[in-house]
Amino acid sequence: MESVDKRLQSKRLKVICGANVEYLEDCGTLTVEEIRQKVAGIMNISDNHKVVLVNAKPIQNPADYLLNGDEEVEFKREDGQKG
Amino acid sequence: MRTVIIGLGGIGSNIVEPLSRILTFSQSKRAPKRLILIDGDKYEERNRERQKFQVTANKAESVKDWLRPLFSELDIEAKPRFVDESNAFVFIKEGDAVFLSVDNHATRKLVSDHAATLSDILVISGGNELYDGNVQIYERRKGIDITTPLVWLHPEIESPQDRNPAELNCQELAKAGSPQLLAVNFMVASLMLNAFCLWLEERAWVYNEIYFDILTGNCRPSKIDRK
Repeated sequence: MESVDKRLQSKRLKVICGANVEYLEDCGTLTVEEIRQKVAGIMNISDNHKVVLVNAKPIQNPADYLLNGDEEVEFKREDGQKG
Repeated sequence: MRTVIIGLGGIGSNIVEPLSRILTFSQSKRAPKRLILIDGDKYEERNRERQKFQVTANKAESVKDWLRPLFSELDIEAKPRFVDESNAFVFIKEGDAVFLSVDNHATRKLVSDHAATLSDILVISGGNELYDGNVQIYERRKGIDITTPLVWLHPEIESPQDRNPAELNCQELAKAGSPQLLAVNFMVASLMLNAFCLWLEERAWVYNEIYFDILTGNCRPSKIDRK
């Protein structure tokens, strides 16, 4: 079994959309767009999520933005329209 | 100081009674005893599935007539109009606490932009889809944004694709309704009231937005600064 220290060192990408959060372990170097495609189904992420944040900062080009695997990525959910 | 509710549909009609109770019995110096109800739409029998009302009439007038005998300590006024560019400055004033429970982003933008011109204002805005939703809190104090405007990081509000109901004809208004769940409306209403209670207690905001999803059971607070 891996030591606790080694497991703590493993990279953990936090992916957020609306109320939901998923963690991806050691997913390697991927772009934000690749992450979106990877989790779109399980997190209900559509093309409507135009605003993307990495570590709470908006980014412009998800297809070009490389992640190293230990960031927090948020696909900003649109406001509920109905009331 | 006044509390203003804009929109008395699935969310707003379920906020008004507990809100009136809170305003009546709160010891907070922030709790206004004046309640302004604003909605240009009218209740129809088909609304009973999710909306709370006594008679099929204008929503603001109907809710006023229902609440007045229950909460005689409050000064309750009805404004049977939609908020639009011509009247926003009349309906939303300095020092107001505004509950924004409308069904379109055009009105959210209008209210957020108008609030940004005031020195002291609280706007609690809620909305939902079929199974999920969110609440945003926009507060300004002494001319400074304490939290971010509703349009911040929300291009769907900054550049709304829908229209203010004041611009729609009767047929378009009737079509505007789409399936919603009462439980989801309740969730939004509850989160909006939670935020208001925190404000009454003068607590610092630990979030300015909160999301929920009843399919996963998750609720997540969020606070992202402009920096």
